[in-house]
Amino acid sequence: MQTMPSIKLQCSNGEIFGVDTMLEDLGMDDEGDNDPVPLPNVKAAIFKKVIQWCTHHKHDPPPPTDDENKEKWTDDIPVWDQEFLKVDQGILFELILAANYLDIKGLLDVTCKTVVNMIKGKSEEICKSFNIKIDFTEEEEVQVCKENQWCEEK
Amino acid sequence: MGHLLSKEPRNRPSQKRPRCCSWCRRRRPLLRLPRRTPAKAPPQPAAPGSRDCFFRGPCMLCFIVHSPGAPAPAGPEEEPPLSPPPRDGAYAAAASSQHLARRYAALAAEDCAAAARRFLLSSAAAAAAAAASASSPASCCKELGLAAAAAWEQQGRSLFLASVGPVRFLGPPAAVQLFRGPPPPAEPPTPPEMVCKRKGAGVPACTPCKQPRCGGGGCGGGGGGGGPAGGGASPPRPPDAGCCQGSEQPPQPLCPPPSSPTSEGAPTEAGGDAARAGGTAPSPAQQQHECGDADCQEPPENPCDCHRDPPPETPDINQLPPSILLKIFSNLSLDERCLSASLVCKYWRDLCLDFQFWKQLDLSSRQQVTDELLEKIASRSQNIIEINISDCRSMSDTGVCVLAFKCPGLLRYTAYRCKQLSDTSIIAVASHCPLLQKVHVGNQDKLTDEGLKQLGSKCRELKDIHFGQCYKISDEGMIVIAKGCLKLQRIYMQENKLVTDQSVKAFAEHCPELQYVGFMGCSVTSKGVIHLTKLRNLSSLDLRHITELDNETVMEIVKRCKNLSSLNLCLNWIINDRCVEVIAKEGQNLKELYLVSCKITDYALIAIGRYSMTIETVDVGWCKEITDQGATLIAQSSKSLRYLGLMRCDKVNEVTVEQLVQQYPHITFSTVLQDCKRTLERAYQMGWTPNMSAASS
Repeated sequence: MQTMPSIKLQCSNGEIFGVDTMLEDLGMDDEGDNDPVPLPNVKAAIFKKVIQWCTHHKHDPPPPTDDENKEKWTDDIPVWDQEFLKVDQGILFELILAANYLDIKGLLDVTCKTVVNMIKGKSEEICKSFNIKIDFTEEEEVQVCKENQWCEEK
Repeated sequence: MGHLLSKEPRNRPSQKRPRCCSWCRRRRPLLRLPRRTPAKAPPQPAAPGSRDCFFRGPCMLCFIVHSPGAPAPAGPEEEPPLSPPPRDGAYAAAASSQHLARRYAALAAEDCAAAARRFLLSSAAAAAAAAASASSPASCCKELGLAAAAAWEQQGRSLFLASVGPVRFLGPPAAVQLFRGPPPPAEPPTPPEMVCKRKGAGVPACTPCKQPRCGGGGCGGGGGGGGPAGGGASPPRPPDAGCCQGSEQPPQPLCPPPSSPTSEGAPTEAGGDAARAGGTAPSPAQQQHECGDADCQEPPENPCDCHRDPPPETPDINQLPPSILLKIFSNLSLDERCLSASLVCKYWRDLCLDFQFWKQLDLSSRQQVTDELLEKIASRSQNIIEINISDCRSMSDTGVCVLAFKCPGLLRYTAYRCKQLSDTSIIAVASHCPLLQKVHVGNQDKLTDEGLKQLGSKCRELKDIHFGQCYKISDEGMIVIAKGCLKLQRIYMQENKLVTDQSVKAFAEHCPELQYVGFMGCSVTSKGVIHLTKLRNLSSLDLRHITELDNETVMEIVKRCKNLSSLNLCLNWIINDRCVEVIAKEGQNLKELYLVSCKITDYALIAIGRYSMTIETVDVGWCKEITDQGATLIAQSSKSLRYLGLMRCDKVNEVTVEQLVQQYPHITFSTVLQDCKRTLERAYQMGWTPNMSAASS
């Protein structure tokens, strides 16, 4: 829809990126508007990674519309993405937020799946992995266990 | 077997356009016997443009003319079959191997070990049984046929069930935890632009100015209704992130460090518990005004106070917006949510109670599911749309009735092997859930026609039914369903001896959208089956071990039902090479063909290899006349073949198969030895160690 070769995007720190117009969803109107589009919620470093991901995936077919019966697989993350996402948790979360903000479904899916794969094991382990402080009192914890006990035994 | 092959070299110039049979104007020739000029030319086919024979129904005349008397081992010489036009790998090996890989991946380690053991025991048993008596194939097959039917229900395990077809049984979806529901009610609606997704730290939407961000990050954008979120959680902040609120406000006070929540005096607003990760912000109204990007509303529920003072650089998963956390949790299983995630912190506990996780419930095999629990769950989340209570033996009709009553939007109901349930439960479901689309109640042997009649009259949206092994059901109930549920797409029956040709006819007449039809082991004959030619959308047909089935009927079905992609004829001993040849020629979309225990020889395999461009899965287990030659020739000539079942084809040598495995790596060969090897490989990969008892016998 755009004939401009690229649009300009300005990250939160002011840095400007020129990007090939695959980002039609931004709904830009091609009237010779050369002002950069502000993306205040996205930092340059993260944006660079987003662009990297998008560039690698630019020939991907559009993701299927969500289907209620689609099975949830988290073991089908492509190898390139796995490597790409071997980053600090912080960066990973920022990528999630950026993907969410920029509405890049493929990136959001793969980053979320990566987090899912990190949620493993018992709750203590999860707390440790994510540095979450357990805020249950002992009674509350027992309560939750009891309520969910029916799950336990198959 | 060899006598059927031409003595001429195989590579004749291929004819692109097969000659037509003069009698019946069929597009493709049948057996190419010596040409006979017909005594009289038949009139044009009745329907213009139709390729069908002038004679309605199975064209007995054509067969009589073309095949003198008996099928397959026909006396006269035949011309060499046409060499198939060269095709590339149109049927991507990738697709089906991915499919298998998925199935492997789905197997848990324990399943594998048990399965390996089970498998090994079963193959040993089968071998022993076969050695012991000559009549084993039928009983083995029947058993395996049943086992395969069970596999129909348990997708993913059929890999280990030796004979009847590999993995592609239709079954309920394996994982049911999909959410597509609306955002959690606690969260106020987020605008589509989703400008602000983060609680707490954030950079407002206005032009960044060079002001240091505050540690807690609640720069103006934070907390409750503030401006847009920044790029991340507490982790590294951009050096120049503006704390701009617009010009009026001095940046500093707007960004109190997380630990001192009072700088603007309004830290409490942010909905519920205060700010997370420094999302303490000035009052929302003020904030929104300032930031000019007023449409972000932070969700109020934010009970986890544990992040009031995180060090700024520590990533915090709870900083992610709840919708994203919910998306992440939706990928966990029910067990993982209830037994692990719920115990992480209060916030996660509450998220796990979100409605969307309780819309599609898989409670199967949990013996602690009682009527009380069903009621509790149903009351909590009254929008259940899908439920699976298979193998739950601690609940009763009462629980199901309550569930049905409270969940009128129920769409899919699965309850295999709940032998304690009776018509009462199914009638309740039918009465309260008019939108029902799927009912799978296999093995509920108390069910009678009364239940079916209710379903047929009240659930007009039904698309998918499974009444396998509900032995009391008869034509009476089935016909009511056929007449009432015109949108049916899938029917699965198994060993319902009181279901006869009448039912088949009724379904064929009333339910034009049928795609998957199975009448395994029912009292069905060719007279009923032939009606299925009406079903143009038919894509999968399971006729295992029915009372009677003749070759002509099968051929007719394959000719008429052009979308047929899976055909299961196991344990219909009458099926012969001739029939298979026609199937191979006429089945333009056929991908799977199961012929366990049929009366076929190598010729059938050769014909498939020669004539079918599409077939990927062939199972000729227990066909005693198959030899190395058939196996080799089909592997050589079929470009599309990916799976060849040779279980207990005793004239096929394991050594030969091993060679074929090496030569044709894209084809999976199934024999006793090959399956054992695969099982063990997989088991080892999963870290299983073998029992010390003998691996195979």
